[in-house]
Amino acid sequence: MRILVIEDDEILFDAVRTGLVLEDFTVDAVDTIADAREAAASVDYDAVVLDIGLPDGTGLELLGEWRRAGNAVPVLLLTARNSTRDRIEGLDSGADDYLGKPFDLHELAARLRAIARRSKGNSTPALCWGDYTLDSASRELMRGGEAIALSRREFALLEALFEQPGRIFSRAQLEERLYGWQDDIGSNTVEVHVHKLRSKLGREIIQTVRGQGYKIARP
Amino acid sequence: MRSLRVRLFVLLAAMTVLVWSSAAIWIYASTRAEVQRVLDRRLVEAAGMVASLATDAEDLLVQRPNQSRLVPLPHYSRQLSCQIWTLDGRLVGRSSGAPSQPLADGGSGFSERSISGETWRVYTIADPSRQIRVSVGDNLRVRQRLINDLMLGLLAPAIAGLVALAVLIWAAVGAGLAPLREVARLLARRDPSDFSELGIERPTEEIRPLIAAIDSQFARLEQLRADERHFIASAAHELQTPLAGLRAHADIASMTDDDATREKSLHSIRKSVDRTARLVGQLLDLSREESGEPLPLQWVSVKSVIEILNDEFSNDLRRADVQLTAASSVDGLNIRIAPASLVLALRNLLKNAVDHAPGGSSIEISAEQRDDCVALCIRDRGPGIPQNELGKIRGRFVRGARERGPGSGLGLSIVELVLSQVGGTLDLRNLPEGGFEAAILVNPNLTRWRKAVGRGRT
Repeated sequence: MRILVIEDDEILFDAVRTGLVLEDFTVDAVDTIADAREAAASVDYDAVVLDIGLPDGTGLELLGEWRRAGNAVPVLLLTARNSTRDRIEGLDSGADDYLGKPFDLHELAARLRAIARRSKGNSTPALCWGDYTLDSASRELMRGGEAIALSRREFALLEALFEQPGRIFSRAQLEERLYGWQDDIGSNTVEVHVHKLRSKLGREIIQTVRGQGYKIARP
Repeated sequence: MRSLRVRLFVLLAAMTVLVWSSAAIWIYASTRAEVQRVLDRRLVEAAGMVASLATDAEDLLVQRPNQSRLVPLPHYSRQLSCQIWTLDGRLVGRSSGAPSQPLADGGSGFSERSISGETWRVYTIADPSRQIRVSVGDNLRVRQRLINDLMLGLLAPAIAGLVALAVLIWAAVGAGLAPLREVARLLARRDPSDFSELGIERPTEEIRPLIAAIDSQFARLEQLRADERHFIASAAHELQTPLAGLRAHADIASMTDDDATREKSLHSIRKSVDRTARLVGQLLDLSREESGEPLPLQWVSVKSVIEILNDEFSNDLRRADVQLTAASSVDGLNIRIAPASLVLALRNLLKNAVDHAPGGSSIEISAEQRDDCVALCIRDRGPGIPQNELGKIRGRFVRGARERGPGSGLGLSIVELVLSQVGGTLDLRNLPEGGFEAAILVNPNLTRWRKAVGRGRT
């Protein structure tokens, strides 16, 4: 799941980025509204962590701008302004969730997963396909009561495919989902992860659409 | 006197009584004089009439001597007494009720005499041709009673009037003080957190300054409270972020298996604690400077303060690889200020400079004479502040848009607050040749250069 973090405090910026990576998110982090605007224009994020107090404006302005432009990316507001009025204002201006500082990293991760999931129309934390169950909260793939170990990227790749069965994902789209700007893609390309998944789950699950990318069949 | 109403009443009542009693004394005196004059004239006329009617002494002696020849009148019988004497001293006639002793000695005109406890005012006419002397007398006690009756007739209504006046004055004072009572009522009824205007429609002229003073005091209080609330909210807000950083890094340190990540998080925790501590320290400085008693001013050697700070910053300077140099222009410079204030101001400016100076550069402190002030300048070779932010950078909790350092946005407002106590100001500018200058500007009267007498001495 690819997340954009917009936070201007150096230490918190670092903490959220590191913490979310530990929670198996793919994280891009910026510290100004201008950078955030650019990032959101080029990448399709699953969720955004948005600080309200930013050096070149407020997060609420950016949020309003996105919503007016029809950008429905799930947004979690992260802010020190923690009064009820602030929360209401935040939620009313189009935020999907609100977390006051200081916060628990696990909670931040769980809320991000929840708003991302809801935005894709799934209300349960588990994605099912055939007899596979992908639990994004416990980070496990289950098949008939048996856990199958997946690496972080394998999990993320499978999660993307499970979320929208039948949709064809190009290699670039999957890469975007799997790797942040800081990540070195290197030799761990999407093909490598697909290959590993096929060897773990069998060839038939992930189908190659020639010249277009990958998909899983509708169940 | 505790009640304004009682006070006013007593003053007004006392003055009324004073005026009325003066008037009464005056009336008494003039009435008395007038009564005396009128009665004296009556004596003269009465004596004249009796004398003109009397025959001569021989005739009178032939008739029944010692018997009244005057008609007794029922009411005034006691008031006027008349005696007719022969010139050789025999009483030949008297009115009823008149004493038998002579009312007057020999001679004519007015005289007074006491006869058996009564004092008489007497007018005497002597007629040598008829050998008689006529004396007509007034009993003074009776005269006094007449005057007293007259005065009583005047005073009784006056006293009744005074009582009525007292009631009216009391009521009038009460009515006159109604606007004050209204103010007191509004103030008493007011919610303690209500700082709005009193809202008295058409206040009386005398009360207007009072209301204006109260209203402006309320407005000041409201502003003060709003500032304070804003400050506390901002301070809390500013503390939330480093606390969130602390919390998140602590989470990471306990979550990760990777030693490098844990070490990095622990490092960040240390940094965050330092930053929070600095913020708390600055908040304390600020509140101390704002609320504390003004510190006594004394001549402080700038050089010695720089040396203190150089020691204090030695670790930071080494870590940032930055040199602190003092130009020769600050040698011997003394500023009249509280020593702690100068240290506080320079510490905050130096901290900013150290945070922004690039490695290998130096921060220079120098002094110079400007138009109408002396400037103590701290110059660093850092990137400076974007021109559009220079104006607002002094505000509390305001940090530059590209600011990523450990600052809290309080430093400059602390410097300004400290300087304002000696009428000094803070001048900030980007240097044309690159770098940034923060200058403390003070009145030349508050500075003096002493011959350098050795390092570290004031």
